[in-house]
Amino acid sequence: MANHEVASPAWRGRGTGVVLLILMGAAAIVYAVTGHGITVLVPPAKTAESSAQGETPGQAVEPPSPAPPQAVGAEGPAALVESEPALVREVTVGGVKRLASGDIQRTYSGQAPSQCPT
Amino acid sequence: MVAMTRTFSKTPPKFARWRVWVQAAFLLVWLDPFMLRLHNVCGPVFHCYACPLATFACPIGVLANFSALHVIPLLAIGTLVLVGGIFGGFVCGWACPFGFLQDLIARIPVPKFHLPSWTGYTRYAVLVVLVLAIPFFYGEAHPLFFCRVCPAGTLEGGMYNVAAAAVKRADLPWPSLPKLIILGLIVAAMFVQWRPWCALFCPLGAIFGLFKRVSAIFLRVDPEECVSCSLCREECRYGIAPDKQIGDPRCVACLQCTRCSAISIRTIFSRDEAKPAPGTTPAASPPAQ
Repeated sequence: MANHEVASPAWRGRGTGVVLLILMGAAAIVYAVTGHGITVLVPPAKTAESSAQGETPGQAVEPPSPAPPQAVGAEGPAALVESEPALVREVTVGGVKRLASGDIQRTYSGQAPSQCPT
Repeated sequence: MVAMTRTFSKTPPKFARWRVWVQAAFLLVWLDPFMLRLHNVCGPVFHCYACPLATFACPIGVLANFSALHVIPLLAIGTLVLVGGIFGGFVCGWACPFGFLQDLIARIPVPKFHLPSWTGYTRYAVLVVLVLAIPFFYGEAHPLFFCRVCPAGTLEGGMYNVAAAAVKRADLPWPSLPKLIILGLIVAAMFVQWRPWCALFCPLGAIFGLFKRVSAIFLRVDPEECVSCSLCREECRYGIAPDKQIGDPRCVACLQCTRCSAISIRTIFSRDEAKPAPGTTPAASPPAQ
């Protein structure tokens, strides 16, 4: 008996769907890494330290450290554009929060917290 | 008359017997043995980044936090679509560390209950309400923000910190009472139910469940070999009828049903054998000279 193999139309459709999903997933990752920037406000050093201590009770708080250069000497918070991978790292330690105004603000200055606040 | 060639093995197929070792190997990957702490990369499994031994960021934690920030998490979505499109539900059964923990506890010989089939859809309520809606409308400070009730976070992050503080003889940083109660209930349920977290609550399993009918690797029932004997239904630990619902979102690809030769693992590269058209005779092989 001839034992040749065929791909049924249903499986060909599934293969097309898989290729589309892989392309969409890869495109989303590439765009997130290379082109998706999110504006984050970095408060002046004093404000950031008191904010971090006040909002995460019981959490190990890093010792006070100098604010990053962008925030030093600024009257209000400085705006930084962070890549999405950087923001992912920030959320893993509770390093950012959304303000009532809709802006995203860092909850610390200097070295990031080492633990998730939840 | 068509000869029935279906067979039902008493032991899982060879590939399925490797599952526990594959899970253990993946556990090593997620537990960050080289202390890389790549928390700017989303992992594809349910493993809390509060755990000091976490290589990647938890995709559900990222989805919830980005929802609270009102930012679309393209990195997490892209990772889940890419991995789900290739592996589908095999991620849950073969790679997830929290699923592995549930599998290990379930090996303790205690009678197991079977949940009604509709309970598998509660995971979508968890995904929509706790992971997306509450963070979006109330922010990360809400007591029902997903990470604040997640048992994986309590176990892998909270209890680790308690143990570490106990070793140092410092004050014990106990997680909140609701978190401890939820963890206690889930762990207790692991003894009497196969993968209770996955079956009832896991939002990541809910997402990967959506890919089961479109993933590159999948399970398939041969309709010509299946005689609807329902033995595969008795083998399934999650209340699925594999012969009727082979792409069911609740399936974690444990491969118990593949004891039946009518059910097999296929990929989009697999090929069906051509069947002779009705009314035709199969081509005879040439006679030996």
